[in-house]
Amino acid sequence: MKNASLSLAQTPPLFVPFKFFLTAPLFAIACGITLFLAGPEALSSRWHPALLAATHFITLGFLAMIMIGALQQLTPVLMGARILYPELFSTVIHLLLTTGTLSLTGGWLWQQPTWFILAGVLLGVALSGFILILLFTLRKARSGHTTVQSTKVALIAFAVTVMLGIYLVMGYNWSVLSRFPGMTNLHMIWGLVGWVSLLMMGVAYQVVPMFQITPDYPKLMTRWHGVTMFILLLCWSIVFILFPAEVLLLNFIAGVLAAGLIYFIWITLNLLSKRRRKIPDITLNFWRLALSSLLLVVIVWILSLFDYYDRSGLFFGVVMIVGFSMSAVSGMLYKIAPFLIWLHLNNYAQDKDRKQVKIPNMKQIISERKAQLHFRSHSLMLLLSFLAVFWPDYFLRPASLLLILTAIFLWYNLYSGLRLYSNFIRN
Amino acid sequence: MLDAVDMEPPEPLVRAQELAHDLGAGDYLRLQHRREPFLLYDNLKQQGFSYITCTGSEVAYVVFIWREADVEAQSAVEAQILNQTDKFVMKCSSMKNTNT
Repeated sequence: MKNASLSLAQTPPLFVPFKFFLTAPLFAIACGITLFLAGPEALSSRWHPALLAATHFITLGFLAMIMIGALQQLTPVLMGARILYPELFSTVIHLLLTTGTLSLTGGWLWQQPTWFILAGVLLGVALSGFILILLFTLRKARSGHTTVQSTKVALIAFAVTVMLGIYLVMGYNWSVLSRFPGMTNLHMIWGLVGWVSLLMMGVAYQVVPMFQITPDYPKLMTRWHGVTMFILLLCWSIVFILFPAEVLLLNFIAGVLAAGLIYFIWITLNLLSKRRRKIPDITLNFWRLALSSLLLVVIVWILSLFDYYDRSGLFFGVVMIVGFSMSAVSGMLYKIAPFLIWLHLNNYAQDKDRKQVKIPNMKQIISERKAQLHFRSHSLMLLLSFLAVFWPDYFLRPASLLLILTAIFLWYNLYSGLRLYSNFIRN
Repeated sequence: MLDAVDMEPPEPLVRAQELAHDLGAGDYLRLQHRREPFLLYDNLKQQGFSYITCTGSEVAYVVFIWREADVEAQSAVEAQILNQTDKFVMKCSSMKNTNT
């Protein structure tokens, strides 16, 4: 197997990923404000405009924003594939993604159907451009690590999500676009189980053993698990569209998919229990929270198949988006962001007399204490979000306020790392 | 010797560079790592060090580092590799990374 070359020359400027990282918490704050103002009414239906806007503030504005920003740095640094004109590329994608997300959410909040057309165009160009260029770039990846393959599969799942999303959003203006009744479910499943989960798994294959000092994931798993999950998702979707009455077959495929998620959870928790250095770690806390949420997702999913309780759809969304995705992404940020800052400081030191330059270590770049504060706020916010699904009158507004606070903590922690970098270079 | 098997990135790189800078004439550093330290290679080249990497059975990677043009250190590394081949070294990169 060829290995990734962490080449200094391939590292794009620090602001390439950081403009995405620093924008993402602002969208989480927008989500908190939206839900706070809308109040418990927002959870009355999954089609409530405020809930749709809030969901996309997080999925597009927070999750996709961070994942797209991180991929632009991970692709060259971890996978050895260089994106051409990284600064121009990242600026264009960032601008289109930000304005596209604002148009989409604004369309729901201010009931402006024409904004959806603008959103469809902006997001369509941003996301399809990003996916195509990244897939093209990954063809030349020097790394033989399976993260490359998993990233490609996740990007294809993202493409399916985007296509379904644009089709749905265009339906607000052109009613001739007949909507398949379950299209929103397909869009949601491809986005959360396809794009988010497959990318998280692919990145975990490389960063969990690297940063948590664990044994490697089983080779057979890293080679086939992501691809198998993708194929199962594809089979489930085909049956769902063509033979929606085949409930038993649909449930069987969904069950195998759920088993695939449980397998990932079990292997990861098992690896984390074999850490060589058992010291407190903020990423580990976030990961344990994310994996527990993913386990809860599987249980809720299975229960929903048998219609055991009525709010399972909303609960699934909250656990998957806030519990699994936000926790996993936040946890990874606490490794990726300080490491990138350190890497750029190291690059800087190469141009100086190394003995004259003492680079801050990872713990100094973003302090453990500040990160802990974020984690505690995030955990409490997650608990209140779960409760808000069942008792929105009591818990939705406190959960919204805590989401705002959590996002402020994250923004400040990332900003303080970047400020340390700027001060270091300046002095 | 620096055993970086239990260290989290970027500690192995930082410690290896610190120790490399303290090397005297005829000295070399033996770094043991569970992953191949690609990032370290770039830094070493820029800072005037030579290195050779061996893949082992007991330890995944063993990197020998010495000051560029230090013939005595290079000979010591070659001798070390030859003497210990049976114990831990399965395969070493060629001396192409060396500048001597």
